[in-house]
Amino acid sequence: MELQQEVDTNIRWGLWLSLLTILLMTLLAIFAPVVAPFDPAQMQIGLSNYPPAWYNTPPKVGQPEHVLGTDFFGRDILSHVIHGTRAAMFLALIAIPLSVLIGVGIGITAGLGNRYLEAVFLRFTDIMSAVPSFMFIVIIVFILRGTSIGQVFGGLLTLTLAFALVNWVGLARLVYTSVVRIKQQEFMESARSLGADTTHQIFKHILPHISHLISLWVINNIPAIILMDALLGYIGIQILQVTDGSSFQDLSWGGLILIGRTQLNRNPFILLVPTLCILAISMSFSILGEYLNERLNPQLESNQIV
Amino acid sequence: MLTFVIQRLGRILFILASVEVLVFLLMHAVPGGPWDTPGNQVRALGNVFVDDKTLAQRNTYYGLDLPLWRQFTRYLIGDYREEQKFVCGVICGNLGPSTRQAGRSVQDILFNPPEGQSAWNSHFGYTVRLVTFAFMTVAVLGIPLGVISALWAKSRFDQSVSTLFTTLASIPVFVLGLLEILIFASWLNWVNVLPDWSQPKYWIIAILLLAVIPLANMIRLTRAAMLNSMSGDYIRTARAKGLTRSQTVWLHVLPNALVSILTFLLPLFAELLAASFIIEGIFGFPGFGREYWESIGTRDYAMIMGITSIYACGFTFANLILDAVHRLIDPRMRTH
Repeated sequence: MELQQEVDTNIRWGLWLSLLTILLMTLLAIFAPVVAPFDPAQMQIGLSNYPPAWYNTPPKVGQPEHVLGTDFFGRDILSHVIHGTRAAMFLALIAIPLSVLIGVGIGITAGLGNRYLEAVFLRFTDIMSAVPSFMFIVIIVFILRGTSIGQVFGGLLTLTLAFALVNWVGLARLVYTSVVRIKQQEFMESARSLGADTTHQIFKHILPHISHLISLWVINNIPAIILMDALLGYIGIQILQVTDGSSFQDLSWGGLILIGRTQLNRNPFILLVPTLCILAISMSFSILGEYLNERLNPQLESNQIV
Repeated sequence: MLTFVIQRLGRILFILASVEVLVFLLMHAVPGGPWDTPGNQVRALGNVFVDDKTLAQRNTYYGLDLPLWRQFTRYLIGDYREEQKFVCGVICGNLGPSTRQAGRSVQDILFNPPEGQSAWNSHFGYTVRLVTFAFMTVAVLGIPLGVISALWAKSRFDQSVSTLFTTLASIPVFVLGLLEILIFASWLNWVNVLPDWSQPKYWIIAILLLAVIPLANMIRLTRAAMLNSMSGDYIRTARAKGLTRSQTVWLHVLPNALVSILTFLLPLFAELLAASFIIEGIFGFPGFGREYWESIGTRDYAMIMGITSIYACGFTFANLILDAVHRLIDPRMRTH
């Protein structure tokens, strides 16, 4: 029993720490222009490739105002990291709710709809899952990037739409199977025989039953989209188009890691800091997800027999 | 069983045809053509090296001047080329000429091994080997670790396994690859930085990298399936009639959990295949993935279609096999 209590304390500490991390990251994302010491896109040619501030070995001594040093174009690394938080949190807070809206809507419609609607839905999700979802995201980013949508929110809307348009499929499938299971149960039948209309059925019976599935899906997919953003930045499919149209520039952590890979000997912190940020935020959401799973999932009751 | 297989084969055909249409349309919606540079810009020096006449010739050769539906039927079924000779399309196994690697067809690039080597050394062979090894790694390591975690739920072992794999799965895969290179190549000096894929030790690095995230998911799902199976009423009955703990686990908990674990294997396969594209693209593994990324950037339509079709084929047939196995194992599936 003693070990059990110790484990429980560990879990509680992890939970508080992850909540704190998420809160900090959100604040950092909101106040990024205030907190960041420089404009992350501002180039200073005389200041290229400076090491972090505490490096004091010649020939290049760290500048006290550029805490983490600068990249090849003299852009401040710390400001880039802080603005990268914006991209990650924006995606987590806009793309995920958007895919939840689409996924839950379509999943419930297919689950309650007639035979034909159901068949169309099932075949469509079959088709979508037979294509690598990453390729879909890349192609949608390519299509939308040149249009006016690509300019909104510094290109973040592109990735948001791409992610939402692809990722609702998994959630819709999940919602559909649970709706089909729920609508055969006795309480639904009695609700229907008492004259409950569809709206009442959905909001009073179905949604409360699948809410834990949805919240779990949300928590598990937030790290996924942040990693996806980093990956897209890393493989060079940047989402942000700078106004003059001739150059692309990405203010995500992935782009920073791409810079950091070539500078590994000179300034390992370009690689290290964004990686730690990604690690911290995705671990926080994972821990939160595991906790919610234990609290919300009715099937995982604690009365284990063996 | 036979009607089941026939029904499913029809469905697979429908899915494959729809995938072709969908990918074809999406790809042609991307601005730019095969002769432009990546980044949606018309090739800056295009007018210097390629004059209009050559461009028109190329477009005719690849059929890019035809209306869109003709391009699609040309790709799928076939069309008459210059000297009135019928050239068959995908239905005969001809995946079309690649625009990026002029002069070679897609099936030649993907399936033909380099001169004097076995079929395993083609791009297709490399990807198949990588995915198969990673699949085996995940199944062999993931299921036992998940089962043990569930049996000792909330113990130190359970905690450390879950913490370790949550951490590893939260690091971006490309950083993890860099870390592996730093540890194995720079620090331990086991391998060279430039990989030599004829030696197994380089494979282990790539497989570990590919397997990390699916392994984390597999352990979590197996653990959940075991816990779910443990809380069933029949387990209470088994314990009440006097079976020991290990007898209950071996005879009742494990068989039931394994049925639901089987349903995770298909998403696992798809996940590995998709992740292998990413890992190959990043680390220059000579499989499909590298070709794939380069063709998306340069809009090599035939290559993108070809690789997507092969992926879709692999996915749907793996789905069919796993469903059939599921029906054979689980009696509940056969009733409806």
